[in-house]
Amino acid sequence: MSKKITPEATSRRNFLKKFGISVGTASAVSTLGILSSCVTDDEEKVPMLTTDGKVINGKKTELKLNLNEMQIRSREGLSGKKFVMVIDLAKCKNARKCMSACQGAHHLKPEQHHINVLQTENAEGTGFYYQPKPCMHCDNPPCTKVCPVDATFKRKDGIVLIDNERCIGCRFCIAACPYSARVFNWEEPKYYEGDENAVYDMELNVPQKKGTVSKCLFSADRLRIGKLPYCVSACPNGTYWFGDANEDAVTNGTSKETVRLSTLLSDNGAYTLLPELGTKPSVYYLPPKDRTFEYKAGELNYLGEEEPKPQHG
Amino acid sequence: MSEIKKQSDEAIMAKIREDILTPMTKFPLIYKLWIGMLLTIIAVAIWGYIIQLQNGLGQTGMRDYVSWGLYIASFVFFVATALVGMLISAVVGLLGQKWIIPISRIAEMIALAFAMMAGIAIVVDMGRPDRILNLFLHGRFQSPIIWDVTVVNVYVIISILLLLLPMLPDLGIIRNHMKKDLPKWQWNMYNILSLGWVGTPGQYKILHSTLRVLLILIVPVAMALHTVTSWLSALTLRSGWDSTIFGPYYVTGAFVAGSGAVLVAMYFIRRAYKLEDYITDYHFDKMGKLMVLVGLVYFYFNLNEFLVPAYKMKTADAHHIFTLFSFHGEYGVMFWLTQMFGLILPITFGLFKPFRKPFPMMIIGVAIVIGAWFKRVIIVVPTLAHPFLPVQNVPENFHHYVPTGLEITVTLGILAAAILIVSILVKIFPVIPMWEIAEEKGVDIHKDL
Amino acid sequence: MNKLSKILSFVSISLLIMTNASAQDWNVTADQKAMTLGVAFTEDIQDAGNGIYNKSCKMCHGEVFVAPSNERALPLAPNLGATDWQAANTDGEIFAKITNGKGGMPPFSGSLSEDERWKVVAFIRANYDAYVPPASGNAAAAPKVEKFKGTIKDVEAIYNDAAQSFTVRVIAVDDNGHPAKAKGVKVDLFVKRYFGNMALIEGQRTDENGEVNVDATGLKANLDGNVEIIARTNDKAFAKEETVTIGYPEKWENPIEGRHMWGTSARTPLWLLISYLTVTLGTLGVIGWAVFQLLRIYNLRER
Repeated sequence: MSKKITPEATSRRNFLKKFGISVGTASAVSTLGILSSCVTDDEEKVPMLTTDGKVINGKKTELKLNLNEMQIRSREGLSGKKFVMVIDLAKCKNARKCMSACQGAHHLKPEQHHINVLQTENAEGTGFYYQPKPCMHCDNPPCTKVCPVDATFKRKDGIVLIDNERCIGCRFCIAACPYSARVFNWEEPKYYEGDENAVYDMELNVPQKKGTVSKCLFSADRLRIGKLPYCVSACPNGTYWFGDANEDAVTNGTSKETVRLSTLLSDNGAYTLLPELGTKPSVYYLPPKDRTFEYKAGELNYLGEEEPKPQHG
Repeated sequence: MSEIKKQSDEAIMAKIREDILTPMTKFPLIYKLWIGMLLTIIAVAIWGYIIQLQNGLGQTGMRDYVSWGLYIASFVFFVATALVGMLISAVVGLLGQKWIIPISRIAEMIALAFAMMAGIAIVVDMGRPDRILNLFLHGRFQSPIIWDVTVVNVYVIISILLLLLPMLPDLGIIRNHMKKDLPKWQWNMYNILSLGWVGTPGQYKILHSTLRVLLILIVPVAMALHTVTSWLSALTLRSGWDSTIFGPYYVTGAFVAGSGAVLVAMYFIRRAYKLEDYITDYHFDKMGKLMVLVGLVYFYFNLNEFLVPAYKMKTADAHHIFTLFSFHGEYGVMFWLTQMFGLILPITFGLFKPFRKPFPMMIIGVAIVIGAWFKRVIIVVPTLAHPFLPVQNVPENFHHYVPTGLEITVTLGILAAAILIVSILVKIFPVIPMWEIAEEKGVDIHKDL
Repeated sequence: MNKLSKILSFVSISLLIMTNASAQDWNVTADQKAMTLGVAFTEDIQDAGNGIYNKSCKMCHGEVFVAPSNERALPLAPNLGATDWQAANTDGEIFAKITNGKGGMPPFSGSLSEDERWKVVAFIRANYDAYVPPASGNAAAAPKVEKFKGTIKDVEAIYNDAAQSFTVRVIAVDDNGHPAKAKGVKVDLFVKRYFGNMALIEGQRTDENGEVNVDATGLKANLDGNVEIIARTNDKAFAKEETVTIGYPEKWENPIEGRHMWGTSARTPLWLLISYLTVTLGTLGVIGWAVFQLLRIYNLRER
């Protein structure tokens, strides 16, 4: 019955080692992760989550499903889960590792943001802060309401996804989203090595397709294997908490600390964006109180270059 | 007595045939040039569209924030103009107004052409037109787009019926009298389309009852058409669209746009076909009064649509109002020009009888149509340009919407196609319902004319 | 591919090191350096410091463990348990560094009170054997908590249904091999969650019965009504994973099962579906009737 588990110190060190690389390579790591999955040993076993919520160890080859199976699996989602994100505005220092990790993972262009770090203030003169803004994965999503072809939809685990293979590019969802969370592939998307032969993965939205809509997916491909989203893992400042509301637990992407969601929210006076619209977001914000750094006016432009003055409103 | 009556009937009919059918057999140079110009514009637009298909919608000025632009604005404009068919034929017709008889067919032709092109405008705006069948394979009943697709198609079908049905007696006349004046294929076409019309009381009975049902049916369908189109905007949470009066606001706006289009078409068709005896100053006067009436109703809805949020100045609404109302706002100049030339001045001039003459009415019609088109841009674009959350970390051209040359070309191409369809329809079909005119003049029409 | 990834990670790491290393030096004045621990060096204070550390520092500095020197490479913050670092810094210096920060390390003058910052210093010093706490002033030496003398055999956790709490019990024997109550042993209790283990308690000392009572009110179970827990001693020498039934299965309602406006086509609200079909089919019916009338007109030809 009793069994000795690996001392956490060791595992933490291991984690830190991995973490060191993932921070260091920020934008590159996620891409490489995808590429290396194409060349790694097929015998390697990886944890996989079945649609009924069980974690199994399967061969990597089993991950290579055909498009149809992938589509069905991706549309179903994970049973019993309700994924939520908590963004601690007091921690965000505009490092933008989340943005670059996300763009790398989802093969996006520099101007395409699944997650965008905004500089904003609540009312005039109340002070600016950095506000990472992913898709809110609303429980009353205005975007899926208007889709004419079921291309964007909500899964049972709360994630709102897009089916690139079905989207007709009418952009009604972009117009309907009050959070401006959606982007469009106006031109031929940015293709990465291996994209030509890749089977389309709805949970990663890769390869991107010209003339279709794309947006934050809460890294549904990572959640399936029990890993935190790309942006959450990439943050060096402990801004993101991510977890399952049904378990009432969220895990910090930087420290990997896990806490009670309800406690975290109520202790900090959490809020959601534009609650008056009734969209019921799955993303919570903790107020930017007790910041341990100074807000720096000025902005990095979409290429990550310094810009003299932010444009607000 | 009956002999004389018979002779005079025959004379009246011959005069009507002469006046209305002769232009159908003539193809003057100006008509050919006109068609050639429209075809050229359409050809250039198709070339532009092919470039857009190859390189993606990035060829347009639309970007992630302003993701709907000229194409959707044009779609709304075409739908609006198409609504005139219902206004003239159904509403005014069902009210028993006889003066609409000579212009009802023109209105129906405009309605059909513009409704068809509205559908094309939507397809042009699609990122993946190759997947258009998904609308039928995977159609989602909760989406206003599905409602819109349904209602646009239904409206086109009813418009075709409303064009064809009252034309049956006229087609019978053409079949009977024009065999030697027309190419064989064209006569065969009329022969088939006339559905063996011989003017028996039985045929007239069916014609009148069916027409009446269709005229009643088109009222809710046309209302639905434009209300659903307004819901494409009004069912979102976006400031400037999030309005409960968008349905009637769109419908009344459509009446204004359609009246303008009919005024322009009336003027040019009358001149080209020398129909001064049929489309008289009286008709322009009546049309002008109708335009003033619908214009005043539309003005009332404008008042509600803009003054109510401007009074309250909710955060996001205030921003929207500022960009429209202030000359420093991005759309201030366009907004006021549109309101002045597209609505306020036409109403004002229309109130005075000297302006309700053919030429001034045509000028006013042109102003209304251009104003109506810009108004649709003002409805679509500014709301998208000012989302709730700040626009940051994107290139400069994401902040503002400026349509590209290609986009304007393709839009003009769609407009040209609509005008081309009208131009062809008025050439191959009698633009004035001959049998109704004859009936007005007391001719016994219950026979094979 | 591997080569490329190595090169890329090397380049990015070097870039980060360069940006961090080029930051200014710690500007600790002589006065600050000379300051001594501002709180009592007791286990209580150290435990309090541990709590603050977990909240504010652990995110970057990780676990504090004794090692001859810091092994972590930038950009990670150093292990504060490194003996050479401990020897090189006075209490005042550590305090000043926490207060003012440098480069990637934020200043904590705003978010932690002076007392709290001193408590963190006390915690950092706790496992440094060579440390001599100041004997005078407000930091009077307190008697050390008596450490448990026997041999720890195991640790276990029991769930109490009525109280909705766990009891973490350390099982131990005394020198003679008889069962003993292990008082003052630091224990942890974790609940396994999807992305990591959630601490219910960390480093809490057992009472005179060798137990810690852990409140678990409102703890969410999985769909079977169970939670997986890990009870362990804080030094990680003993640990036990258990699956505990803590209540009735949580009822999970599949949010997409209902008919919603935002749902998929198959889940159209019935009123909408019926309205749409009625209106559409009704209209098409009338149109069909009209077309049929055209046929009737055709049939009446040449009468």
